[in-house]
Amino acid sequence: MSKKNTNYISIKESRAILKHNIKQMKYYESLKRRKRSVEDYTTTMRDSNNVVEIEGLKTVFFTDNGTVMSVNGVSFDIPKNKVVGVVGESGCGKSVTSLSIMQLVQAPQGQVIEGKIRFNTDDLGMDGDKKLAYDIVQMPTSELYKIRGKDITMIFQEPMTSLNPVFTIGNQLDEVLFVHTPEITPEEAKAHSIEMLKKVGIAMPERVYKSYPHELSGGMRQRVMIAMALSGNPKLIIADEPTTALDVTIQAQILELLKELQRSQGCSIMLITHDLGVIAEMADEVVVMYAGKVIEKGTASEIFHNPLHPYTIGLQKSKPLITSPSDQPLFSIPGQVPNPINLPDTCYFKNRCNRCIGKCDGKYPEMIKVSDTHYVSCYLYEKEEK
Amino acid sequence: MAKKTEKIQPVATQQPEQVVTFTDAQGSANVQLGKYNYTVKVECKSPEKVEVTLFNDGSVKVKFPADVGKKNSKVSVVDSNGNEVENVIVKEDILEVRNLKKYFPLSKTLLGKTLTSLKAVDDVSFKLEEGTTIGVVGESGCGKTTLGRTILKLYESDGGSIYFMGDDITHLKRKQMLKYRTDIQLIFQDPYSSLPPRMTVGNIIAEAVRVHHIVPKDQVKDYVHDIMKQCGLPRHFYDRFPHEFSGGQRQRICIARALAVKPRLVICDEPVSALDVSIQAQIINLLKKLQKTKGFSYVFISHDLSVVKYITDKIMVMYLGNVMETGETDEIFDNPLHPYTKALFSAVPVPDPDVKMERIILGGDIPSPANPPKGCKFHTRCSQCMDVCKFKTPQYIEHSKNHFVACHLYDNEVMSNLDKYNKEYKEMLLEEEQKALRNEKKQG
Repeated sequence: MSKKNTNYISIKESRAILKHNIKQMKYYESLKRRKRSVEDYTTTMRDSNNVVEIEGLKTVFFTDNGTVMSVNGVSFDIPKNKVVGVVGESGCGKSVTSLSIMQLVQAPQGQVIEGKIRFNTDDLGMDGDKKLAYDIVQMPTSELYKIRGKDITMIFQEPMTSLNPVFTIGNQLDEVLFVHTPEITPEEAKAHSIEMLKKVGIAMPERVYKSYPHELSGGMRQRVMIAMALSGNPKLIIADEPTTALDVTIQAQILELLKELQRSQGCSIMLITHDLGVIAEMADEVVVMYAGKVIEKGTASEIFHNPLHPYTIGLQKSKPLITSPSDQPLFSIPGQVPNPINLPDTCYFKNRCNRCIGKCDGKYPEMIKVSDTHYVSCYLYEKEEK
Repeated sequence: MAKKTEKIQPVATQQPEQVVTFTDAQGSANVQLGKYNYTVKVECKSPEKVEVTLFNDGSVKVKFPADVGKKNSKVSVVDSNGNEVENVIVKEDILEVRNLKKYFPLSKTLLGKTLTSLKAVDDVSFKLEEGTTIGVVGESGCGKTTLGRTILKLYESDGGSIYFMGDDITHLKRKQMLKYRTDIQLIFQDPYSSLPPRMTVGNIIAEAVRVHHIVPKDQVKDYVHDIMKQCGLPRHFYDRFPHEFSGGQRQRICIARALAVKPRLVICDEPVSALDVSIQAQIINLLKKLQKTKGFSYVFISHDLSVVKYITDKIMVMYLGNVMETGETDEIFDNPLHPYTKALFSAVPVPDPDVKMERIILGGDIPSPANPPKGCKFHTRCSQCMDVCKFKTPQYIEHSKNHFVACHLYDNEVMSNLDKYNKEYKEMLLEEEQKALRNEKKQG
């Protein structure tokens, strides 16, 4: 490791960074504050069968050590009625991508500086043969309130911390309805909430409705979170590591429930996880991310049966399986994820890759189309394109 | 590779290919198999417990149980001509836990007498041979971590005994325990909170070395560098602070710290759960390599079954403080018996979209350990629950060699008398109903 990669920076450098950060943050905040009409943030969908299209998304964090490129030009689509799995190690930007969709990135340090997130909505109608859509990046937050929590909802990783401990479950469930349908009466809201609790397989919905989060177990809390996410009849549910904090047996229950609800409600799920097993079980399409970039995307069977990028291959090999023999040493990817500050111009995986070729010293490889659905960003497969 | 041969032989070979006997009170035994005829002489404090195994390749294994221990003992094996046999493996059970109990008081009377308690670890027994790994598996709240900490005597046990390298360490005081502290080490789950933030890596590793006088003072630095090299940490990390490292590197530091005092037994409390998959593999390989070179024994606590399968020789499945099933790893994975083990295995997602496993989905949540169900603790979620399970606690049954299970389904006595037990259960229900009625009348 060179000296450059350490966390040490001189006071002079630190001041320069601080000055730069303040300037940048002010600029992006002022962009957010300017007045925008509906035309400014409407675009057309590339394909009206997609719920969300993300194109060239860049989200950065201005930290004291420098600018962190958390999401660095990510593009993928989430089709209707499909489960899209986003997989990658911690710090690869998968959560930040989802937060960008929800406009929940911690401001002013975190800013979406580039790219488009097109959200397919029925509110706007058609423009010729193309469907009109909201561009979430340009959308003012006050407008986004209308779709956040109703059309796009989120299930967080920690059911412990994402429920408010001082309100009852019923209170928190009803709130979703009061915000998005103001004309609803409290009685109707209660009936609807209990209906939702029943739907997610809670045995005594009336009792749970009245209880506080601390009275429920981890699995129950995650069910309540799912009920909350479903109560607005969403088009897209973003599940950010929904089962990481749960036990295997409870995880199996929750995954089963999510699959079932996705089928019956007809919504799309963006499933973020680091567990390849969960992805294989749930996802129709898989996006593999590494250091803020999408390195491979394709359908689940393509990614699992024909992985192309050395990182995807390594990731799959390094996971011990119940069925794998235990006498050989486990395959492991050497080294670690690069420092997100001062990323090199070359392929980020170069230092850890075991199949490096001469070309890898060049600039970051473009996305290469392998089949209609399968894309990979690696020089090894460049020939096939030509 | 000594570990390898020793692991495979007892499992793979059947009766005629190995002979097991115990030495007599004088510490001598005759073993005979095919052309081999050996006389074994053992000197130690209670020789009648020493187990002698003769394999078909002529090698002899002498195993001391944990309450005897191999230190201060002598072994000599002589063949019929009076020549010394060279192929002798002397092993001991490094750790034995017998009926260990740890209860946490929940409520007390005014005078301090415990009224109700949480049975975190209830009647757990196992043996761990040196150089091998036992895996403790179970859901959260099943007492895995408490078990690990009770073995380390971070908690005082409420019953049962712990034998370590021939000594009973159950009731040792803090000071008496000091000399065992270097022999048992712990690796924690969270590498972020288990390293002191104000100490450099070198100091973290060297601290215990200095306290326990592992090496002379002037050699400490070289020794620490050597340990760091073995754990895959570059030399220049010595003067850095923990916050500068990633999770995988921190876990390496934790391993280096445990390793520095030359332990015999390392208790790994979910060492890879907090790490990413690619880093996980590095750490698992490191732990395996260290076991091979240094002959460590591990108690490997984890909820990740695929990792456990990879690293352990024996597995213990726990549920609400009780052991549900124990056995050799391969045996348990090939032939799980207990319904809970089966469900646990089937719940692990397989990273292949085409494999559709038949799932046993357990209904409901794990019951509160403060108020566990009567009878078999698992009966509330069991798919094969019978009436017996609701009031009778199952016994441990040795289903096949070294494969124990606590389930009525495999208990011949219970299964042949099912009608009797069903009747008993109905009578119990009736009685309870009548009691409730009487109470109502009294109040009414």
